[in-house]
Amino acid sequence: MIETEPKSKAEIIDDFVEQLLEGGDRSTLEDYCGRYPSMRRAFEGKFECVRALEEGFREDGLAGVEIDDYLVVEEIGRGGMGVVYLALQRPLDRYVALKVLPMGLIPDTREIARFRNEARAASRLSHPNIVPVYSTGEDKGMYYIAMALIPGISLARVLEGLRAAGIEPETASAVKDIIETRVDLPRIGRATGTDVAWSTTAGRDPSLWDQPYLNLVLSLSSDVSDALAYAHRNGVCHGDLKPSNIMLSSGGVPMIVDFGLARDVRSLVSIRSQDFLGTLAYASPEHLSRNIVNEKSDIWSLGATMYEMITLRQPFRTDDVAGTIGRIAKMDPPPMRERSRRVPKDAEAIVAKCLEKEPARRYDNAQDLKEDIDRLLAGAPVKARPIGRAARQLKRARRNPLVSLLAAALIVFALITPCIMFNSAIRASVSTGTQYYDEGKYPEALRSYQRALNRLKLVPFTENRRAEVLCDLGNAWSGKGEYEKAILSYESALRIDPGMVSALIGLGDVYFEIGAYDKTVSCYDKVLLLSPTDRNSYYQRGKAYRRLGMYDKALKDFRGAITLAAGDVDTLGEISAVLSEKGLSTLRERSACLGEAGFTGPEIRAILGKREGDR
Amino acid sequence: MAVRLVDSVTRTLIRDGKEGDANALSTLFARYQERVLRIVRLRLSAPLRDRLRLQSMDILQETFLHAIRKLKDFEPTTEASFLHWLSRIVENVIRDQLDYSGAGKRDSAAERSLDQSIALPSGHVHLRDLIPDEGTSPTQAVVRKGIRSIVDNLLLELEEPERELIIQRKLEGLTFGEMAAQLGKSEDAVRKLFNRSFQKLIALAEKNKVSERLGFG
Repeated sequence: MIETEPKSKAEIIDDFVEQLLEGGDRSTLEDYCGRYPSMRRAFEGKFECVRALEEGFREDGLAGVEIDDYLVVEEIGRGGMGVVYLALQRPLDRYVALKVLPMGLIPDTREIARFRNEARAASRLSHPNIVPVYSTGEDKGMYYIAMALIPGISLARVLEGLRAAGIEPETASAVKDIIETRVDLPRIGRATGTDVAWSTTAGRDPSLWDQPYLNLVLSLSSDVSDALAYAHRNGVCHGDLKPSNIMLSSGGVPMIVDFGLARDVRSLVSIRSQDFLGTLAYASPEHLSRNIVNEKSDIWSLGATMYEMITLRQPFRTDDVAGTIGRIAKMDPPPMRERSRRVPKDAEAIVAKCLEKEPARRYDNAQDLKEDIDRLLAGAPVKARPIGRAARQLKRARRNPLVSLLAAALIVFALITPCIMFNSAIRASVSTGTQYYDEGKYPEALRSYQRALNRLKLVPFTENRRAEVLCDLGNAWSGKGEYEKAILSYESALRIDPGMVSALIGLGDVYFEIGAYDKTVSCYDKVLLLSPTDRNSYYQRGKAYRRLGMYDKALKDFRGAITLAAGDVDTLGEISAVLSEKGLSTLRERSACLGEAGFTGPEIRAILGKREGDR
Repeated sequence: MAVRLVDSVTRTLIRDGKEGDANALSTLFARYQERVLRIVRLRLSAPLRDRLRLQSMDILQETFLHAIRKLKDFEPTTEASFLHWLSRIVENVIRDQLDYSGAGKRDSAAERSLDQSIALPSGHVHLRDLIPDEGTSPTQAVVRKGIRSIVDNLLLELEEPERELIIQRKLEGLTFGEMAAQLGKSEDAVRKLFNRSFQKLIALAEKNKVSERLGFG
């Protein structure tokens, strides 16, 4: 844990790769780059390489599985709303993008009915800027939507690429370069072979790529608002419009996916909070506070997307859910012209009109928005009015203070929602198991947990939940005295979530039971890294050190435990035991030893006094 | 030490397969055929590689044939143990194949096996019906062209013991503990060996600019 001697570059890189192989992720990369900034490029190269190789070993959960007419080939994407697979539609021998939604994401029957209706409505939409939905259905416990396979990448990845380039794009060709070099198209192309009949999308006039970048943004926005206007006229709103839901075909045509899939804020919440944050950043204030989704909220989301396309920054995003919600509810985004002088006032005005907190003050409909964008493109005056400083202040004063309360309620909601999504049958098995466990009926508890795990396997996106149940399972095995099995369960849980404190504690304690004290120590090392004020962990690790004969370290830990809970009887007993095992019998020796270990005078008096008292 | 908990579906399929449920068997094989085929392709030695297309499928089919016969004596504890079991059969089948070709026997294992029917309690089933052949399995054709084949080509450049370590860990899903037991080494030693092998694979990938080709980074 503590580096004792300087390492060579090669050794550092080896260490880094080892960490990656042990399940390290982007945070490992950032960690190393932070520690050795000059080696960033080397780390990044290794990181991407490991990622590519791991991809080559990854198991496609559903590969080879038939879902109704579709044979799943391989995973091509993953997001908050489901996993997208490349699939072969057998009767037609065509490749499609098959989006599979786990049942666990759709908590109740009302939701299921709504999903069906929405999906049906979406499948009736036919517009050049909307990804066609071929069919929807349910099979093997999953809902699926079969869509046209679009040879292109999402706008989110385009923006990622532009951000990575680090400079403001001059012309539209910057986007073309990204589409051509980024992954999806060549990979799917390779996967399906060259003779695959792509769902064809019309290309744009190639001269578009030579125009200024802003023109491309406006042109894409015009297309997207046209698609929104069409969908709204047909009674479907999107509900979760954001860059990752807009595909950009290789010909530069934007196509919206996932129409009408996320009307309820709850369904926006995925177990991974980062995904949630990603989706939250484009949600309108009324969506967040009152769960209202309509054409006005779609206009907001498009406005937020336009803002990001123009400035390459998300208008409201902060690092956490609460901050983001707060900004959406209360703050105007930083003026785009502050970020780039090149942004015309009229473009600023259009985006600002989309991002009005009050829905009534936004464009009346997506058609009006489209027309205003087209006016700007044609060099004509727009209808949106530039906002002056006074108007800004007035707006701020008008802002509804209640919104923040509602936002606070939503944060709580975001935390509890994964539980809602957790299938009720599974939840029942787990709680039965816990009941049995509490009563000491371990075999029964084990059966319940196993049942829950078996069900969880069928539901994607429940990895974290599975880790928790695996940990429960470990506890039950441990209770039953089957330590080997307990270890396996804890380790499985930790493979899913290496930072799962309860599993680390369980594992550490089991190792203690079987006398593997060194392993107990390493478990609690991790626990204490994650949770440095846990008295019990100091106590447990100290106990393990004592058994290993490492008395100095044991005393240090007991001191930690005493610091966090003065006068703890168990800890005092352990300290006495250490002192005895060290062969220290006189008060002076004992006192000196404790002093060396860092105990304060009063602590030493309390400890030794206690001991004398015991006698 | 760590073992993947048995995938309940796999266990059910194996149980039903043992009881003679042909559907369960074909689902079971469909589930693992890609991984097994991959292991087959990685295990085939260079002299056989030029005939890979036919041979790998032959071996896959032969493997499943053996597996069906031996399934009744097999009690999987984990999914990895099932895969490892299949993987050992692959090894034996390849050895047999090499013996055949060495002895100049030309009768194809595939022809023999596919024409056989298996006696199941529910009646006779043609192996042909249980195992999709290459021509009708777009999955394999597709996957072969994908990222996996790029990685597999790199694996083939490794020394055999290094490749085996990666196969066991990454494709069979064995834990270091299980691998240690297989190899008669300590878990720590196996972990180190594996890491070293993987580092070599990374070096090869870098040399071949794999992450750029695959659009990573």
